[in-house]
Amino acid sequence: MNCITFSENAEGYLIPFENNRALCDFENPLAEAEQWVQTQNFGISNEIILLGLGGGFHLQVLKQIHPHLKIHVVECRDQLLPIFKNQVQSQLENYSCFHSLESLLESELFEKALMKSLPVYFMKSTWGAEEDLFYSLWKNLTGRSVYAIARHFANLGVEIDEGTLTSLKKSEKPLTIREATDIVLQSESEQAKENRGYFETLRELTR
Amino acid sequence: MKILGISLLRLGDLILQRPLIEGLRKKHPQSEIHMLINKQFSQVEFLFAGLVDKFIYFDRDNLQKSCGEKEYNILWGFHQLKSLMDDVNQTRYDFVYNFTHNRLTAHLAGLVHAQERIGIYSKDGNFHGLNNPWIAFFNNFFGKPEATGFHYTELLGRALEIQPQQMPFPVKTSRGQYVLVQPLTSDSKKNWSLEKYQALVKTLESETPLQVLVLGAPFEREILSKTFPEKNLFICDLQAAASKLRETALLITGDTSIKHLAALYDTPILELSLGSSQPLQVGAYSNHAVTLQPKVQCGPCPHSQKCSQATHVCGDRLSVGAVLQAAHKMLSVDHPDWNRFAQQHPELIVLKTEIRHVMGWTVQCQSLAQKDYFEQVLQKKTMIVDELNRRHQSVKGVNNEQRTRKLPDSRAEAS
Repeated sequence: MNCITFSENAEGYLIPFENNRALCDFENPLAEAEQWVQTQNFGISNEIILLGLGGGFHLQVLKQIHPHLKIHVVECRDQLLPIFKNQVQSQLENYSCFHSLESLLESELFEKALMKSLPVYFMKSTWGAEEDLFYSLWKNLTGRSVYAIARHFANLGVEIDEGTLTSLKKSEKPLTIREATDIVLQSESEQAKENRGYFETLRELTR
Repeated sequence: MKILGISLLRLGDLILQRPLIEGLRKKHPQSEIHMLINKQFSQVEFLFAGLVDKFIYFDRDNLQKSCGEKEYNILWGFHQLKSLMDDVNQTRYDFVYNFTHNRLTAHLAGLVHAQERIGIYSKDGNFHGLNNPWIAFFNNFFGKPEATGFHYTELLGRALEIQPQQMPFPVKTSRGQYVLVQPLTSDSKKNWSLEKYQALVKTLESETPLQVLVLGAPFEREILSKTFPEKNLFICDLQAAASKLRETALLITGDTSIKHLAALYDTPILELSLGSSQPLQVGAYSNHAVTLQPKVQCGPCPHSQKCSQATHVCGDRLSVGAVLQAAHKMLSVDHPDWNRFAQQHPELIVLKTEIRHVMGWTVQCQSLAQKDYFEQVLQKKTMIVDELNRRHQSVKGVNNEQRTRKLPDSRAEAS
């Protein structure tokens, strides 16, 4: 387990460090958070996933600027929550802590993300030394892993043939709409044929 | 009867299609016409008042983002698109007209439940509609030398079997009180230099009793205000620009959507055709437009490439004096002698547009050296029209669908 410590900045905020790497800006965490919020597109959905709690300042600013959003917070380090509750916000609804990818894939949140195609946001500095795990969580929550896309298509009634699955598993890269379209075009199922036109339309938008 | 038109190109193309929508309304006067257009062009609704009963918006921006940006779920776009098409298919359309003619809209047209589809559509993995020789000609040659002389609006009209109709406008009892200048286009290589426009505006102000205004969209204010004084700026939205054009004696412009808007209102247009502008295919659809095109070996250049020259040769060759002289001719109450003007400016090709009863839209070349070439273009156009009409008659009613080898991708656009 990585070492989580906290240092107090000039404004009296406790800033989390993981293996001596700050999980948000040490001197101006709120300014960093405001800038991050301004650069994101929150017009996609009223329900979102925020991947990485870090110091929690970006969550605080996000709630102030977009109070209508229902935010599911996902973390993998238990130590961050108590400090967040003390200094930023005592109540935190919709919080989940997953120490592994497997625990995410078994969760209700993953099912919800699949059913509603929830958008996933993150401020990269909050990932700290757990970048690999968070990246893996992001891939699965956004449907860009082989497992997740297979689950998505199962929900649509689209069968993925074995050859396609094998070929997809060879690459570590996140899947794109092009691969999703290829899956649909190569599938023999009736649902695939019915949905083909939508994927072909989307693929044109990537050209 | 319910008709859906799909038009997902750019603003200028939508404006160019208005005569076709007017023609569609004339063809089916009792029908309900709906249009599927890009959400970002919702400001054109006023132009279609009385013609289009309902607009449906395609959120191209967000759908495009969803295909690549990291926060989107991979299937978000699919669900949005399905939801849109489910809403569209609440209506049972008699006809779907594809005004856009690319793969994107072919797929969309295939997803609409309709009795009949006019234009390209996709079904079961194949593209259909190319058995119409006019559609095939449009697909293969629009934007290329083979289709020179065919105006986009008319060619699309022939492909979709709609006769373009001019917008009914009130007879003007007096000349307009403005000269409008539209300096900026969507592509810097089509722009004449702002310094030259500045000199033009100053001189026109001193030499005509009309008010000279520089037209721009809100996002263009910063650039324009560096060159033109505030008193000359008219920064506005599309509807305000349309209002102004109705009171304008002359519009001086590059190849822009404002040019096409002016054509709808029968405003006289002086077009400065530079860079990749194609006056013989997307010139003003008007009886009152003159185009000045500098004679350069490199032009018209390809749309999608940067200027290949060390300097902007075509722009350099177009002098303020020539544009000023042309502007005065257009503002004059006398019948201008364009032949003489062309002789005085051998560095330019001078074209005058006209919409004729049988031939349709055409250009008259005023420059002696190019007259033969343009007459050949006209003759070739006549032959192609006759041949394609003959072929079209012979395939009508034959249920003979062909797979196409090539269809424009979704970036293909007229203007």
